[in-house]
Amino acid sequence: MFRLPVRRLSFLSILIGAIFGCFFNFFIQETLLQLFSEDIIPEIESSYGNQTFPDESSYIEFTADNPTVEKREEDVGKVPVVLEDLNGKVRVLCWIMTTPQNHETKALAVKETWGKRCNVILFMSSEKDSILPSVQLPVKEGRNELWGKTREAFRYVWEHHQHDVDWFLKADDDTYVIVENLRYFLSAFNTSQPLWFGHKYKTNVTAGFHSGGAGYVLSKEATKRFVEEGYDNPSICKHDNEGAEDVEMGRCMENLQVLTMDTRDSKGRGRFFPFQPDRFYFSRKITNYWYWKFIYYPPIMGPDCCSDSTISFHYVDPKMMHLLDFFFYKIRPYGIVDHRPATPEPPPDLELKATPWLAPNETTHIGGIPQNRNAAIDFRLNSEENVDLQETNDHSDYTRYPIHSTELFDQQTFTPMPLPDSDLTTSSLFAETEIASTIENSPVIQSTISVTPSQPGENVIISNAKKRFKVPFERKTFGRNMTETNRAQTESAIQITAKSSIASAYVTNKEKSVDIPINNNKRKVFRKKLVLEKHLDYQELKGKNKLTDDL
Amino acid sequence: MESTSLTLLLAHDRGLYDKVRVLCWIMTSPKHHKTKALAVKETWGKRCNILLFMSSQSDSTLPSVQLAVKEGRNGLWGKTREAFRYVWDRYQDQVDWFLKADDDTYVVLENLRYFLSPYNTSKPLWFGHKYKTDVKAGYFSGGAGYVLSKEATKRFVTEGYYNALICRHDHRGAEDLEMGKCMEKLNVSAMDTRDSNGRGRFFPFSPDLHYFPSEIPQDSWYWQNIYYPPTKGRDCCSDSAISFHYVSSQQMHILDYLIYQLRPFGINQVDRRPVTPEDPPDLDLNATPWFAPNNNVTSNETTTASSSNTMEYDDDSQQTDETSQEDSNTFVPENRPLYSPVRRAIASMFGLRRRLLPPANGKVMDEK
Repeated sequence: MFRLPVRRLSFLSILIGAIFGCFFNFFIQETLLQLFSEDIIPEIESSYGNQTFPDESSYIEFTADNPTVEKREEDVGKVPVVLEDLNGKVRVLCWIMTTPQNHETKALAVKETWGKRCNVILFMSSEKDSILPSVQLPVKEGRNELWGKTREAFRYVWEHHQHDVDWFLKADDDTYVIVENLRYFLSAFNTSQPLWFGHKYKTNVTAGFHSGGAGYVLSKEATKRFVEEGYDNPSICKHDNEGAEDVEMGRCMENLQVLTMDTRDSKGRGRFFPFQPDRFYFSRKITNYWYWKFIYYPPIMGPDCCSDSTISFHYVDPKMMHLLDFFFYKIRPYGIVDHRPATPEPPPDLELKATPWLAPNETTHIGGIPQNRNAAIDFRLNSEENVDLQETNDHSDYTRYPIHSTELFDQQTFTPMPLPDSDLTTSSLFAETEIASTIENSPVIQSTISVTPSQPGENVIISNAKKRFKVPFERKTFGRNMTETNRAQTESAIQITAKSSIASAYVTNKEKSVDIPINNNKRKVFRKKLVLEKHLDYQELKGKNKLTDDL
Repeated sequence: MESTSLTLLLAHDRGLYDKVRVLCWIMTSPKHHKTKALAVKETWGKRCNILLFMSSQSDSTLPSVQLAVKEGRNGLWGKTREAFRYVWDRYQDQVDWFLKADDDTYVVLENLRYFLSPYNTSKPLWFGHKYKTDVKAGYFSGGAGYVLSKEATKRFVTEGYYNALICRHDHRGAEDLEMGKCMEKLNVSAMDTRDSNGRGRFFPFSPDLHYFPSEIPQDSWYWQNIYYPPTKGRDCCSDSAISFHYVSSQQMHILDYLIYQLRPFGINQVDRRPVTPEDPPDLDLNATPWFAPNNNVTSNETTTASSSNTMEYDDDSQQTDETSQEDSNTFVPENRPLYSPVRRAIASMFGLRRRLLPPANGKVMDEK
C-alpha cells in the first residue's frame, strides 16, 4: 500500500476546509439575505438624504380624477391676530449650529419645518451654502470647535442683525423649537436686561448654565455684553476654540453677570428639553445617567412633565421634525380652545434664589457609571410593544465620561437602577402598572407640581428613595478615542475634581439633607432579574459607545 | 376648496358632544387588557360618549364585555357580529353613531364628530378608509376604524345577523371584508371620507407611514387595495384627520400629548374651518376606483438609480423641465416581479417586514 502522509495532511485539510466552509456559509447567508431582502422589500431610504421636501407648490395630488388641487396655504401665511402681534413684538433670530455634512439633511429639515417661523434664520457652518443659506464661519469642524463656532456665530449675528431682532436663539440642527411658544414665553421679559434662558444645569458653573442641545436664548443686552466685552477678553470668555460650548457660554455669562433664568411654567414644568418628548413622558427612557446629576431644578416625569407651552426638544431627527410639525400645526381637533393667558405666568424661580436640586443619595457614593445601560430600561417597558429604544447615548455630548474603573459595575456600589420617577402624580394606570409591575424597589420622586412661586427653594419630596446613582465627574475632556495614557491622566484628574465638587455640593445642602431609608434587601432579587433580562458584553457596549460624533 | 371664512369658535366641544353622540367599541383581547386597551381608555377613549371593550373575557377595570367568541384572528368576524349586536341591543337610543376600532387605533374624536355632523344617521351609511378589492362598492379597513350609522347598524343586526345569505354566519373571515360584503348586500352606502381637497381622514397606518409613504413598499398590497388616489407628504392627511392604526400604547400617550396638550400658542385661537365640513369629492359615490399607474409611465425620478424604489419627491435642482412637472410628481410604482411563494417563505423566515407582506386574505391585522 502506498504510504501517504495522510494523517497530517488530512487533518490540516479538514481544518482548512471547515474554516473556509464557515466563511463561505456566512457569506452565502449574507448575500441571500441581501438578495432576498432587496427583491421583496425594496431598499427603503431610511436616511433623509434623498428625500427632499420642496416647496408646497409641488405637492400635487397625482390622480387623473382631480387634476388640480388648490394649494393649501401654510398657517404662517394667515396667522391669527394674536400671533401677528407677537411676531412683530418679539422678534427672534434663530441661528442653527450645523456642519457641511448635515446641510442637506438635518439643516434642511430645520429650514422646512420650524426654521421658517423665526424672524431671521441663519445656519452657522464652516462652509458656505446658498441653498440654506448658511454662513461660513472661520472655524473648523468637529466637536472641539463648537465653542469657537458659538463665539463666531454670536459675533456674526450681532454685527449683522442687532437692529432687526430682539432675542437670539441658538439651536442645533437636531433641535425642534416651537417658535410661537418661545415668543409667548419671552414676551414677558425685557430684552434690555442681561438674561439668558434655556434648560438649566447646575454643574460646572455656580449660577448654572443652559444646555446647548435644548437651545438657549440670549437677550439683546446679553449678546451685546458677550460680543463687545467677552469676545475679546480671554479672562471673561475663553479664547481658544476648545471646550463644551454650553459650559463655556455659562462661564462666560456668569462672568458678564448675565442672569441664568428659570424657564419653567408656574407649575414647575419645564419648557426647554434636552431629549425627545417621549423620554420625559415615559421617564424610564432617559438612560443618560448624567442627566439627573446635572439638572438644576427638580424634574417632573410622566404626563405632567412638560408645559403646555413647551419650546424645544433635542435629538429630533429630520423625519421626526416633519412629524412633529404635522402634529402641532396640521392635525387639530376641532373645537379645542386655548385657555392660556395672554402673558405667561412667571416661573417659580424668577428671582433665582432656589438652590440646586440634588438627586437623592447623590452625595453618598463615588463610583463608576455602569456601562450596562440597556439594563436600566428594557424590562421596564412593555416587551409586547414594538418600542423603538433609540439610545440617545450615541449622540449625547455627555456620555463620554472617562470611566472610573474598567469593571462592568463598580464593585463597591452597584446601582442598577439610577432613574428617579415621579409616577405617583400621574393619573395614568397604564404608567403605574408599567412601572410597578417590574420595579418594586425603584426610587420614586414625587413631582413638584405643588411648587408655587412663593416657595422657590423647595426641593423634591422624596419617598421610598433607594440608593441609586453615582456622582458624575466633571468633564475634563471631550477628546475622541481616548488612549490608555490619556485615560489614566484624566481619571486621576477627575477623581480630584469630583471629590471637591461633591464636597462643595454637599456642604451647600447640608442643612437640607433628607433621611433616606436604604433598602438593600430587594437589591439582590433585582440583580437576578437584571442578569436574566439583558446580558450585554462589556466590550460590545464599549464598541457601541461611540466616541465619535457626527456633529 | 376650503372656505376661508372665520368661524366663531365653540366655547367648548360640548355642543358637538351632545349632538353627535358616538359609541366606540374597541376590539381587544384579554392579553391586551392591561396594556393596549388601557392605553386607549386613558387617552382617546374617554372622549367617546360611550366606550366599550369587546373581548372574550370580562374585566371590570376597563370595563370589557365578554363575548361568546374565541380569540384569534379567525374569530374576529364573530367578535364584530356579536359586538354590534350587543351595542345595538343596549345602546341604540343613547348614541347616534357606532365606531369600531382596534386597540391599536388612535382616534381624534372631535374631528370624527365634526366630520359626522352633516350626515343623517337615519340613512344607511358607513364611513372609513376605503378599499376596492373584493367588494364592488368598497369596504373599509378594520384597523383604521369605521363608523356605522344607526340605520346601518339596525339593518346589520335585525336583518344581516340572522340571514346567512346576507352576512356570513360563522365566525371566520376577515372582519372588515365580511362587513363590507354584508353592508353592500344591505344597501348601506360606503361613503367617501376625504376632505374637499382629497386628503384622507381615516388611516390604516401610523402617521409617519402616510407622511413618508416610501416606507411602504411599492408592490405592497396597500397600493393595490385603496379605492381613492393616495396623497403623500404634508398633504397626506386632512387637518381634521380622524384615525391612525398600528399605534402602540406608548405612542398613544405621546400622540395625545402632542395633539391635545402641547400646542403652539395662538394656533387654536382662530379656526378657519367652516362650521359644517365641506363635501368630499365623491359624495355621490360616482368615482371609479383608482389604480396604480402602469410601469409604462416614465418620469424623472425613476431614472435616479439608488432610490428608484421609493416614491420620490422632486429635488429642487432636478426640476429643470417645466412641462414634466406634473408627471414628475406622479406616483409610479416600479415594475416589480410578483412574489413567489419561495421568496415569500424565505422573507418570512428572516422576519422581514412581516406586516408589509401581502396577506393571505387581503387584509393585514394583528393577532387579537
